Amino acid sequence: MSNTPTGRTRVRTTRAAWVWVMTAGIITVVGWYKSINLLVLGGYFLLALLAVNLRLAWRASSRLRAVRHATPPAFAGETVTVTADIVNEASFPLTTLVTAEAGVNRSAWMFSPLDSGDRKTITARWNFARRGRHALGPLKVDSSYPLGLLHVERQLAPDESVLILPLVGKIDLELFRYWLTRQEAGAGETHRPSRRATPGNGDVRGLRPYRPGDSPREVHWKTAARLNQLFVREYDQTEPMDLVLIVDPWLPNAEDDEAARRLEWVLSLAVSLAVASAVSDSPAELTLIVPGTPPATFHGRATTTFVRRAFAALAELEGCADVPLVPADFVRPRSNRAARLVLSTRPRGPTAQALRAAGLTCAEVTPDRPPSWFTPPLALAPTVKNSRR
Amino acid sequence: MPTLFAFRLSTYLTLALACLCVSYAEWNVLRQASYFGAVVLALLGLAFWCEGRYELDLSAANRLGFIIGIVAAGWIAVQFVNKNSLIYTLPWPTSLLPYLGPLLMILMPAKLFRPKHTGDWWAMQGIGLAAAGLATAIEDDAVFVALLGLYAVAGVWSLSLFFYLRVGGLLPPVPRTEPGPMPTILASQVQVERVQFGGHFFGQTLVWVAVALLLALPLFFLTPRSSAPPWQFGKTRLETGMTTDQAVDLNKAGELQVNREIVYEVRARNRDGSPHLGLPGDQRFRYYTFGNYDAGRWQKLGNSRQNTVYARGASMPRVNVVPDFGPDQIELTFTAKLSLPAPVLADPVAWRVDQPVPVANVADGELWFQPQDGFFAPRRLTPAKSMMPDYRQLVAFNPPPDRDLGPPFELSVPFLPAGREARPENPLVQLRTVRLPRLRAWSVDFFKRLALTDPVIAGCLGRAVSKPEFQFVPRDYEAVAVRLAAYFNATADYQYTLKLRRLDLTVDPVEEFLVQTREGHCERFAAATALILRCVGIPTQYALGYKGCDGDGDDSGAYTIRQENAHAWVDVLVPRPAPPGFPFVGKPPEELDGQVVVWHWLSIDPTPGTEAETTAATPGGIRGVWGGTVSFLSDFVVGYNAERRRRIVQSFARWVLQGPGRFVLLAVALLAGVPAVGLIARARRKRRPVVARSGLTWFDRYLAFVLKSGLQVEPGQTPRESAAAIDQALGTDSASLIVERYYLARFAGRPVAADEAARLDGLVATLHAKLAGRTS
Repeated sequence: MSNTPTGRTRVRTTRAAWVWVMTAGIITVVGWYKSINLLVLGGYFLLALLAVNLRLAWRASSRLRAVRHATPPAFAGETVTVTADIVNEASFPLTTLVTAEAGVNRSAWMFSPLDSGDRKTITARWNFARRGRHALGPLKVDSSYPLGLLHVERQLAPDESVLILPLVGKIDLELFRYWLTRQEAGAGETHRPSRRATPGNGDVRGLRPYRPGDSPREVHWKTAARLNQLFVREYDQTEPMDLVLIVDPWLPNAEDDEAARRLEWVLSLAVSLAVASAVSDSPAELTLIVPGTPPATFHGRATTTFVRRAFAALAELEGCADVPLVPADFVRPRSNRAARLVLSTRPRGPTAQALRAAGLTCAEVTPDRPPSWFTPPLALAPTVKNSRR
Repeated sequence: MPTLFAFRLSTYLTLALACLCVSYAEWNVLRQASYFGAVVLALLGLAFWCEGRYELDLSAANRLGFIIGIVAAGWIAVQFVNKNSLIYTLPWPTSLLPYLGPLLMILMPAKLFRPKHTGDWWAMQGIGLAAAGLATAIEDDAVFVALLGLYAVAGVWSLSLFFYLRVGGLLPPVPRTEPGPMPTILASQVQVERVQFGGHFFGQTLVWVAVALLLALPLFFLTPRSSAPPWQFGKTRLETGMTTDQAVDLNKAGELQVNREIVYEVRARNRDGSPHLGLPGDQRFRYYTFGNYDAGRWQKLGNSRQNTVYARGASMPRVNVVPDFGPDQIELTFTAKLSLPAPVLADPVAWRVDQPVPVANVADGELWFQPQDGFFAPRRLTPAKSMMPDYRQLVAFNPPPDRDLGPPFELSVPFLPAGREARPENPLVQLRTVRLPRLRAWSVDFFKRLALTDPVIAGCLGRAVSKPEFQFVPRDYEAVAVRLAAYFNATADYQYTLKLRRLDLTVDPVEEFLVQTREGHCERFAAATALILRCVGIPTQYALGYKGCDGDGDDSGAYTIRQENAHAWVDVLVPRPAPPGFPFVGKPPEELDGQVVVWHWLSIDPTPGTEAETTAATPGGIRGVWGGTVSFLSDFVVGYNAERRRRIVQSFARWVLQGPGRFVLLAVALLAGVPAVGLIARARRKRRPVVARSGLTWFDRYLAFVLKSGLQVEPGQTPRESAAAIDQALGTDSASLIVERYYLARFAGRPVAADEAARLDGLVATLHAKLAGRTS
């Protein structure tokens, strides 16, 4: 919540007001020149009405106060709810318009009227298509009461901003797990990884007789040998899928729209994985590593709150041509179940290679070979198509 | 929020009132326009009913507009073809103004039947305003002002409801414009439950209109007036006073407005140069004389000297010397305040047989003599429209009972009874001409009836001759004229009024006045008297000028002649025995009934009472309020002029300087001064930075330092955060130390000892030093 300093008051003249003044002037001058007193009085009356308009509008604008509420980060394309409290501090009802804007998003509220001392909460629901920090324009009172000829504008609350995270796509977790399993012995690997990069299962709850379809891996051989019957392990729940996401924001040329789209694709994938994990039945331990000096690391249980907080780092991330390598120490697994995923804008990027060289298993995803388990948001779809060609 | 119905009602009401204004204003100018206005009003009613039920699509509306345009163009073309239309009777291009009224009115329904957006509503209000403005240029009587006031109230009401609906996004925006965001309409619970038909807004509107009027009126009163004469559109002489066109048209009907504009300032001095204070309150000042009457209009006789009845006057021929009237001589200096084509001169005045004619001189000192024409009908100045220069008149007034008798003169033509004049162009024939046969019979009958109660008239009737037509004998001219004027002065059969009526335009206005309406103003009384006397063979002229003047009350001998003093009377040609030693030039001198006679113009005034007497009684109640309002409008709005403004300023100055005004002003200044001082103090407080008070002197000093330092402290920062920022900016840790100690004192209840307070003050001093070093 922020305080609301009083802004400078500005009078805006509408086209109708100019016509009004011109008409009043012509009427007055003609009336004076031709000695038609009623016309002179009529011209002055029109000007006086303008003055009444200005006074009442000024009064309405000066006695309104606003308290703007903080706006939490949101994902691109997600509806952002911006709220503020408007208070009438005058001793009379106020009829006025309050406006707010942020880029193409504009909202207005007309108080018709707001009683003395009354407080109303205004809510704007906006949508931001692109990630980054978006300015929430000034919350302004725009009063033209009662004739709508002159507008008196005043900033009720200072500009603020909202952090918009990358676009969220769709992740098919089952396919993703399967994909990760295949990546274990993926082509190009020279040796079988000592530890599985796939997610493991949960705690063993007990044993039960084997049923067709059970994985042979789950057979508890000792019990089977002792009882001469196949038994398999039964788990409490599926073990959460711990993920280490390393983002490689390589952008050779900031002017290149296609490269920029690839970057967005990568960031969207990272966010989508985190969100999918957060909304799944078993949120994983999530580690996000953004290259830098030193690299930024965010670690925690993949709850919605954590995702919004941790992935704020990606909201304002800008790609660059010289992405620093992530030291291997940063990528050491915190648990045996962690799967390392390098999300890079370039195939066979140096980050993944350096990790592999350090003996760390990792899977690499690039826009050139988009995985089937990820459906990018519509805005990024062309990138994928282009990259497939 | 008001309802759409309330908005529609207010808009249609505004447009209807604008139409009413135009219709009312054009009633006396272009009656077709008023009838047309009635049709438009009916269309407005229809459009109001159709709104929301049926409306023309855009193309149909455009076709309708095209047809209306064609019809309008045709109508205008017909007016151009018709040589009797207003286009040819009013000066160009003013004559086109009445035709704008119907065009503006027809635009309203043409717009109303089509789909409307915000711009259309603006356009309709603009058309309404233009129509009302046009009507204002044509009419300005009290009823019209009342209509205009209603229009103003309805217009502001409509505009305010328009504001609500427009800002609330409830009206379609102008096409191809970027509308603002559709606002969410919020209101307090009490306001939501209020009936929102529009009555509440109407009450507010009345307040706004009143406030706007209160603002506009002082501005209006203070504005210097232009030197242009009051605008008169198609209503010749419907107010008291002379016009530059010198027209007398008795066909005009309507209420005569009292115009208090000053025409002349007259300064009267005695022969010894002292101010003359005894100028009679009913002094007449002659302006023009008319001899020819036709169909309600008086016109001058020919300017040729041959057409005058007087051969020469009693005084000496024109010489470049001023006359000397002895101790009774009065010098009148006239200063014109209005541009009139001829001067006015006091009338009638005595002439001396042995003296030059009374003279007037122009400002450059060159003498300018009045024509030697027997009465004061001064010549026209050239150029006609120039402002009259100051001029003087040397006069001496005849003592009663001959105060209204002009100087003696001989006739230029032999006197013959009516009907026996040799030549029709004989000026005596013209001064007896009446083209109203019915009036001639009525006049004879009238005198016969009058003779029943008036023995003088009865005697005159006994001497009157009936062949070749009925006429009084010349020696009875004066008696008959005086008795007739006395009859009109006293009778209850004929009433004086400024509300002029015309019941039947086919009847001559004088006949209508005498037989039917029996009421009118001085022009009708004078015209009737002149024509009645002509009908019985007595030569008369119709005289126009001013009667009465106001003394300034400061013993300076200054008088003012106003337009409201305008008056009409009758000059009657009467014979009297020639005074001894009269220098006859005619051979032989005129003899009537065996007596040598000379002729005089005798001024008679048949008008009963004056405007002041007839309007003195002020009714009470609603009529009184209405009368007061009309009087205010007449004096301070419609008839407000430079003179009234000057008088108001003078009165105000006198009230302030000499009266109780200074005390009132002082009280007002005090009453206004207290809030003003409060406002100024509040504004200063706003500008002054707020210094927080913590109750800890050393921390207060720190806060004062922060405010003065100009270092940016973000809103919402805690003291600790701001201290860190200040330390970072100045490269110290003093601010943080102070704030940490403040936290301990404020929140942990650890008081600060005196020595510690001194140390903290030292830290503040350090901050000051750092800041000074940074800025240097």
